[in-house]
Amino acid sequence: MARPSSAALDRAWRTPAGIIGWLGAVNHKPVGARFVATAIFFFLIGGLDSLVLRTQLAVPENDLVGAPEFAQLFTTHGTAMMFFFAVPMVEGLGMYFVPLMIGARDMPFPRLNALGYWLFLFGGLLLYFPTLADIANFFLPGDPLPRHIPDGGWFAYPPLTSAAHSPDLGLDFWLIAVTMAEISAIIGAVEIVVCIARNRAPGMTWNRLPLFVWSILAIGIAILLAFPSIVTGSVLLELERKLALPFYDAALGGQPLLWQHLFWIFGHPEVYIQFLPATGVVSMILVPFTRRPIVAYGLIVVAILSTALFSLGLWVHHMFATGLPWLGLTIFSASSMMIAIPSGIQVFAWLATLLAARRLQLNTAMLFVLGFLLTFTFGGLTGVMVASVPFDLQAHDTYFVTAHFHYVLVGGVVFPIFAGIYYWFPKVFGRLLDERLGKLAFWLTFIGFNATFLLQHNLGLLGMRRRVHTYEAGLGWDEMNFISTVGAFVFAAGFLLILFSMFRAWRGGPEAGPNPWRASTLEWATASPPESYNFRVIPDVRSREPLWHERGEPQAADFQPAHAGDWAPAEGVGGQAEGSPDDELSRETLATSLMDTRPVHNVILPGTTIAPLALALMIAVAGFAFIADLYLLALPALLAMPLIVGWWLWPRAEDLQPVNPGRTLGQPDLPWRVSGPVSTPWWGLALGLGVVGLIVMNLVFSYLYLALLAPAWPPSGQVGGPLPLQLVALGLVLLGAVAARLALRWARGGSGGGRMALAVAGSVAVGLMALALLLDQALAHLPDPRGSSYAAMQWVLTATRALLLLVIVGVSAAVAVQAGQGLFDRQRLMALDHVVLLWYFVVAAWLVILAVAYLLPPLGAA
Amino acid sequence: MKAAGRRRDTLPLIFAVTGGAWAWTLQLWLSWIVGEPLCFLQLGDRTLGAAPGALLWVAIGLGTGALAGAALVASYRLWRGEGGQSVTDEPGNGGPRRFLAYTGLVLNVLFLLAIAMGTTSPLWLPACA
Repeated sequence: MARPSSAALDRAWRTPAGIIGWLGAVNHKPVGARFVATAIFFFLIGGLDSLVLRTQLAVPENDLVGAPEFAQLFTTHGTAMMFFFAVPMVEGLGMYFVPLMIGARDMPFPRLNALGYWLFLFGGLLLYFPTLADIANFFLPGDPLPRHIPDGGWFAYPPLTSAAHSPDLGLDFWLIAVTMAEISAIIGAVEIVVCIARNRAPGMTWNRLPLFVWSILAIGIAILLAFPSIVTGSVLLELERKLALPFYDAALGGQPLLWQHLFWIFGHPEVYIQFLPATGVVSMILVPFTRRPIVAYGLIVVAILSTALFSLGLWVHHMFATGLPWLGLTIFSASSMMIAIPSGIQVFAWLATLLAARRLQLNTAMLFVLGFLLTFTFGGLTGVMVASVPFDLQAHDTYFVTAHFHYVLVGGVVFPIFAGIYYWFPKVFGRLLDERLGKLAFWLTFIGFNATFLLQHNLGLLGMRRRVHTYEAGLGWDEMNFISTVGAFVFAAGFLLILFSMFRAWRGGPEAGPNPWRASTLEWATASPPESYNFRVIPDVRSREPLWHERGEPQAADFQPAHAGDWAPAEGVGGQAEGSPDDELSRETLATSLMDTRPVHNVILPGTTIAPLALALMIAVAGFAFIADLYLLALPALLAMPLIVGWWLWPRAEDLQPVNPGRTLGQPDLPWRVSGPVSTPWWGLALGLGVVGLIVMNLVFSYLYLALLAPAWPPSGQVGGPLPLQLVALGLVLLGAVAARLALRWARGGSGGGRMALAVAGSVAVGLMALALLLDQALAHLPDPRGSSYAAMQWVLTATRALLLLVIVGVSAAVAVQAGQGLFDRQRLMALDHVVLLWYFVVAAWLVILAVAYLLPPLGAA
Repeated sequence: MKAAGRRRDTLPLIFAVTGGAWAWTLQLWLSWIVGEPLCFLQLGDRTLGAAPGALLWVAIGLGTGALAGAALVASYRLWRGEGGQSVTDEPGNGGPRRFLAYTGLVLNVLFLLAIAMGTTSPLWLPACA
């Protein structure tokens, strides 16, 4: 079997030139790079917000900005940094580097990756749209544009953010923007988890996975588990604001604290989701610059996984001061303190690696790592302090907390990201950054950061509250605030120096070569910048430090891969001989088994398409139109969405018969038409359904939370309608699942397409009947959703069931048409397989919702 | 047959690696769900029927602790079965199974500790202040 030639590979993988090619790029490298670049842009914008905030606080009783503008600034600052900088930044780094580190050509769902990026970008633009409109007012006569900048903080607590107290559209923009950003993050997480689980090169087993990849896997799992709650909470809050459904309105049986639960179930893990990849970056950088493998690799993996898991159970520690019963708080306090153990493990492992260094190289990347170690440890210690309930009650909402989380998020996340920029810039751009400028930038940012935030601990202990727009003179805060403001500008200067340095190197820095640091992991086996196809031959990994292993020991200071992009050709998956440059090849990557990375099947990947951009644009337009009451604009956007999805998913000729499958992987005998749990798309669908399932469970949680705390549930005289007809509807849904299952069985048995089409069409028919029955019952029996939280929840649960049914009916109809066209046979039945899985999911979701909405006994004094 | 054999091997490994995490998650949610109404009950704010609160709290801790303990034993046995040596260095000391068993072993210790701390937490903080 000949190795594919570079020219043939490049023809298959290269993103076409021109604007359409640029907009339609789906490869993990351009998409990952766009995530990183856009995140840096939002870091700049959010940073500008913070400079205005700090300037306002530089001296007492300052009037640079008033209280409303101050609230708007800290809202956009926090939102930009938390939602539009940190998470997209680490996910972008993961998207770019994970396939390179695990020996894959791309991620398994490139179009989803692109969709995630465009959702993130449009979400960010929607967040800042009101600010841009406000700025435009400066230049237009008579302030014609409305001033609707969000001002409810990055946490948006109701009732402050309810329609009564925030009547303008700012919060609506915030909610749509954040929801889009979080859906983008969830999409990225699905991609990352499936890629790491199923697309590792042969030999890249769990015990050899680079620590950065472990950290990205851990945050992928955490995102899938945590982020559905903010999507749920945001949708409920927008429904309350727009349609007056009182989920958080205490007067009508709602609970403002429900929002805090939903928000912090997401919000607390989010901090660790930002922090863990940063630790992965640190672990990757320490190895080449200490010239030795990391100490306690296994314990670091445990620390990464346990931190991610513990982070999911700490959310109540943000609510210690809300008056919750202490019995509940104690258990969250205990868990909060537990997380110090894995964090400590990592810090000691890094220190041990530094102490055991064969040759310590103190370049800019390492300086940022050392800066991280100092500042993060400091932030971790104050974290243990605020995990203690009595201390937290004293320090809550003071500058002590502001200082603590900036030590964790800037020291613990931003410094490692700066280190990562200095470490990986040569790989991405093929140019080295200037070390002298880099060291100057480090000292500016390090000194500026500590000058800004160290004294804020003291300010908090002296009683300065967060989010105050000014303060009186003579409270002992003046000098500390002034120093803090100066520090912020010094930090900003350091960051601008990094940007300037990047620009200068990109324009004409010294060439880096494939492996300037003589590092040990697979990304350094590729060219700098990597070729469009990453690896010409899929690697066959034999050790945790594959590049060092190939040449014996790290002391081999002259290590360079023989040919950029070639992975040790004699040992890779493939042969020695060179293929023809005229070969026609498909875009494909290898799917391997979960445990022993055995090649299982070839994944044929799609090429450039603007479908993701079009879909994201329609979602943004629909969201904007909904906020602005432009329903004539929202309607076509909504109608366009299923059409775009159909265009996206409908099989093309190259999907039905790809060119030379397996040729580029050296695996022509591996199957490419697979279905069920061995296939990567099945994994993606299963994870996606898991996320939707969690959204359903969050709704169920909300229902039960409101039920338990309401004076009476249901309120007197309100009922959800008769159960028997609901059971009939459930029976119809079950029948739909049976029909789809029958079609799959016939496909496996080799039956004709007509029979299959009939069975799937039957599932569509019963699905439509169930939908009609559901809507009829809702309209006939459900009380006015604006009257009570009970009625609102009943309507939301009913709408959820209807929406799920609508989706499965639409998908089934498309699959029925495909079955009629004879597109399924014994080998090619993935779509049918997925439809069956979808039907099972809908049945399960209906069962859970029905059980909660109809079988929960009345509670309280009805 | 091969696939069935692989599944048979994989399920104990999954329990050994994730059992402690599941147990801790269960404890956290059950204790929280039980804890809030118990305190409301004590404050006389709401009637959910008399519940032997402390007993329930301890029972949740013991039950989930037993589950995490079982996962700990499972991970230890798997680790020993795969050779039981250090996994911190490479090459030549074990494959992914032993590594995951080791990971599960330490994870289960951590989660067991978390369950113990959660169960005893009312001893060092007032339960229903």
